[in-house]
Amino acid sequence: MSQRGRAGFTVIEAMIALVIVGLVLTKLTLVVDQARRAHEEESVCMALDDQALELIDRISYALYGSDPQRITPFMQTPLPASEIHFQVTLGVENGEAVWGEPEVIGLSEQGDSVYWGQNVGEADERMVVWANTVSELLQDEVLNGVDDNGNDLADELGLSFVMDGKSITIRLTLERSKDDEKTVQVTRETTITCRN
Amino acid sequence: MRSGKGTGRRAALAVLVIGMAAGLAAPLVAQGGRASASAQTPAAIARLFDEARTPQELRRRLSTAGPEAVPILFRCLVDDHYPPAGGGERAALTPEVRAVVFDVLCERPRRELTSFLEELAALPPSTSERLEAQCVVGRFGSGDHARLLARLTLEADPSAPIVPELRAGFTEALSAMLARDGAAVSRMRELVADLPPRLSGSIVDALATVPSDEATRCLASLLGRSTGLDPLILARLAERGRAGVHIDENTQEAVRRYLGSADPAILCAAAHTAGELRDCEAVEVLVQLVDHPEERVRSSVFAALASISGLAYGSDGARWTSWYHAEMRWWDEEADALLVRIERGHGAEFARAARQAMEHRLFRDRIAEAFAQALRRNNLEEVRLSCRALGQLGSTTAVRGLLECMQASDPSVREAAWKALQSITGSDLPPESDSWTRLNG
Amino acid sequence: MKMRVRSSEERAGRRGSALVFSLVAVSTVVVLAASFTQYASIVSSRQAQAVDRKRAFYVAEAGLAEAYVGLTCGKSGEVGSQEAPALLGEGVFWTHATELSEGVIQLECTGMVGSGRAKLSVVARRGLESVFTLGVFGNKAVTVPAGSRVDAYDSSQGSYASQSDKTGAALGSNAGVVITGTAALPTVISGDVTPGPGKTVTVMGNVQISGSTQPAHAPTVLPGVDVPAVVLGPATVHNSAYPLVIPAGQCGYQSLTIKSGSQLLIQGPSTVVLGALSVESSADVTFDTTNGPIELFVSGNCNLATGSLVSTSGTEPADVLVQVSGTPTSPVTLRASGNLYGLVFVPQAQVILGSPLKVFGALVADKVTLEGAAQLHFDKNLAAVAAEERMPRQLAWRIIDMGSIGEASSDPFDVLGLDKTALLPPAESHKDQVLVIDYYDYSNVYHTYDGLESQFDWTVVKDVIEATRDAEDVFFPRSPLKTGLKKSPGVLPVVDGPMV
Repeated sequence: MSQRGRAGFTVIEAMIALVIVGLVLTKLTLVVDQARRAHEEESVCMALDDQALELIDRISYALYGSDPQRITPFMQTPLPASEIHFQVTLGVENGEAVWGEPEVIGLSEQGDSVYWGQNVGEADERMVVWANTVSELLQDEVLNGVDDNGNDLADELGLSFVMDGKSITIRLTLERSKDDEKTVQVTRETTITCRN
Repeated sequence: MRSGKGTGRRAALAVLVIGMAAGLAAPLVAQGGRASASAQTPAAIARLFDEARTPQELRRRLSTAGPEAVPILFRCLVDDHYPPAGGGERAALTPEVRAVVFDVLCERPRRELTSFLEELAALPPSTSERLEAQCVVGRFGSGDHARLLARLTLEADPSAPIVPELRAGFTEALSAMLARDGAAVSRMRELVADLPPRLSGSIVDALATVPSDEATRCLASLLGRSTGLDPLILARLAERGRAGVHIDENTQEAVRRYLGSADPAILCAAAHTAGELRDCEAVEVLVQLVDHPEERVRSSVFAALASISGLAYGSDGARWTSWYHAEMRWWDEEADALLVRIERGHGAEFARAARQAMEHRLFRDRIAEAFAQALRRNNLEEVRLSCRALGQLGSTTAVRGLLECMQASDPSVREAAWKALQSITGSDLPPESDSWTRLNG
Repeated sequence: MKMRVRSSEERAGRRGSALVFSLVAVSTVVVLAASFTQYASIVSSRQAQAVDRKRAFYVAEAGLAEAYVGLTCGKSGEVGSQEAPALLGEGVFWTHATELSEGVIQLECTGMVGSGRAKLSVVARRGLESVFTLGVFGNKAVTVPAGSRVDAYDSSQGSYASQSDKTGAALGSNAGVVITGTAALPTVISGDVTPGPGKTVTVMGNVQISGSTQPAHAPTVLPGVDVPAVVLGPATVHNSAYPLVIPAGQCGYQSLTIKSGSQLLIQGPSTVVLGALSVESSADVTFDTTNGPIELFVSGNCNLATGSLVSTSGTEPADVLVQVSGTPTSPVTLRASGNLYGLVFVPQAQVILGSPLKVFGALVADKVTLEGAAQLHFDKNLAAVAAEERMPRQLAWRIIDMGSIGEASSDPFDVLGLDKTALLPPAESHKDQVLVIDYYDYSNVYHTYDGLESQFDWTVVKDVIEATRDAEDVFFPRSPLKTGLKKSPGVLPVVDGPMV
């Protein structure tokens, strides 16, 4: 047998090949990881946005049928409220509007979830948690007694209500963070007009 | 030479004597002139009317007339005709001429007018004469002429009713006098005591037109003097509350006492007044009245509670009661800490305390006092926040502090204070602080 | 040149795994992308459903508004139906009206757009027609003696004294009108005098009438007085040096007598119900409307004696409303002096207005008799006030149901089985009604039509004299504000048949 039939890779060739394969694999891993992170982040963002939109709509539909004179507390710029007590009309009897049981939408005591309640504190109390990813403060707001995010409100919490005549402006920030990774925040705002 | 000097001295002496004589004689001449003018006959005064071509000229001519012109001018106004000029038909006064005659008459020296009107009051005068006399007193009079005004209004017969037009004239004239002579307000208490009760209502109405603190105190001090007068006084105090005039604690206390009355009419009036005064201290008693057997009392109470609290619980007595108890619980358990945070807190703590304070309007005056102290801080952000919070609370307690803020050097603080004052008083005056100071006495 | 041919052994030695790695990488990314796309489409679909729900909500609100506006001009409130809804953009709606009680109507509107569905409800009270645009009106008779003055002003433009144009008064009756004047005491009517249909105005002596004296087109029916249910206190005779103050709120007395020299002060906003009212000479009554309007109802005799005084704190006639219900045993006499800025309505009794009392506002009664040189100043602005009162008033609004009708790609036209091209726009979807209308066309010819509104061509109408839909008077919100009675054209109308 000749020396040519016994051809193979030299150590250097093998090492170079290994290095190149390693680089390619590393790069591949980085790309896949980035894609995965982006996918996760986008998914979380989309989910939060979807949740915020749904929650804002839910709060809006609940408040449309209320009467501004029956809404408490008194929440005007620059001191918003994070809880709103209201009543909606059920119809008319003897020419007068009939009002339903007192309802409330607000932040829980821990400040991280939004709940709806009816007859709170009474024997027939009902409460439902509508969302539990609420941020402590509205996006870009810092607890310092000053309006940091330029919306003319001071230290507004993750859910805030401000009234102006028959209009109610609802602001909401949802957030989600995973371990030590970046926190994703989504903020939604809408202004509704009470129809009664 | 010597004779020349002597001649000069004599001439100077003569000039001096003549000058002194002229100076002494001038007043006599003037007096004589006036005496000759004051001796003008009615015909002469009538000629003044005829000779004047314009109202301005008439005014000039009539101004030179003597005291005898007073009754003639007065008669013109009463009859609404030119003065008689030797028989014949007299023409009616035109509105311009009437205004001139009235002005000239009222510009006569006070003692002349007073003595004439005193004589007139003693006559007794007719209703039209009384009405005209009231207008004259209202134009020139001060607090010293209030009793004269009363004599001109009342008939000699104490049982005779007051003609409604005379009553209205009395009120209008007294209002004008009080507006002119603010010091007379405090004497209205004696006037009510001294004059017949038939005029008490008119005196109260006249006092109600004076927007000063003194007038408010005077009105409040009249409460209790006569049960018949109380509803009117309560109504007038309610008007002041509605106008945003600051009502002191003594006045509110005086009104509050009437919430214990057994008379439903008085109860309604007191509840209405307490509501207009936004008297938070009255809520305790009002809540006890939510189950009153009289429907009109209940509706007054509910309206008052709505006015004081800003809530719209309608006629739901149970809801009002539970709200009140919740507020009292909060006041007993949490209010002190909150007020301390408002008075001493800074930054986020202050903002949070402010937000929580807005939820408890029942104690707005006390909370407003705490915010009023914050108006003196150096932190402009906190001062602005305090101004806005005070505007939302609507308590008149903070008006003086806000008035001081309207003179601050920072324009944003001035604007915040102005908007707060607009919200509290309901007035839309421009931000120049002078007008606000006048508004609040 | 020699070409070197590789042997199979050599070709086999040259196989590599790069393609595998590439395939794995690409597959991973494709899988990630696919899952992300699927997730995004789910979210997008959900958001699309949310958007459709919101659009359906707004379409339902538009439907409610269409029906609500229809109520203002006598329409029934029914717009479309589930079988034939109204087409609005990409969606449809239909509104159903239910009469809950006298004058109270409930409108329920269902709106559908895409997959969204919303059902909303509003309860409204129909507007009321104001009689005070009639000005001075006596159902059975109006008597105007020598020296009287009936003119007009507009309270929204300032005081009566400040206005130079005092024309526009309305004096009318369902019977004839008798107006007298003398050389020394001429009578001035600065506006129209309108007797009943077929009746005339009788003028005797020195009388100036600046407007028309044509008779009315149709008789006017006066409504009754709806007295609120207020608990009445005992009969009260007020004879005191101090005024009787009736504070804001509701109050009632079985009868109230204000004796000579005494005062009555009524503070607004208030509703006062009296079984009878008597104000003696030298007494005075003040209506304090500083804080709100006052409604005074008297169900029996009402007498303001000569020498008494009436005054109002404000100058807005609409703030004081005096209504006398029932049939008092004697005429309502208003012989007080002063200026009354208010509206007086006495549909079943005679009102005698003395000369010392100047009325600024309107006076409508069964019979109107002016005494001496009476003065009545009709407020033309009452037409604007009446137009506002004619609008329905919302009592309650609520959401009945919000949801989806199916998948995101749902189409309401498919779900309801409708042909989109066959649907009508909202304005043409109102329920057809029987229209009776008297009008002038653009050639000023008088026409009348009685038939279905769908067969009537509105484009030929220049000016409506009178119109009803299903026997209910029609109010045209955008028509010029009219006061007084509608005049008869004086000729027979052209009878229209179906036009469309």
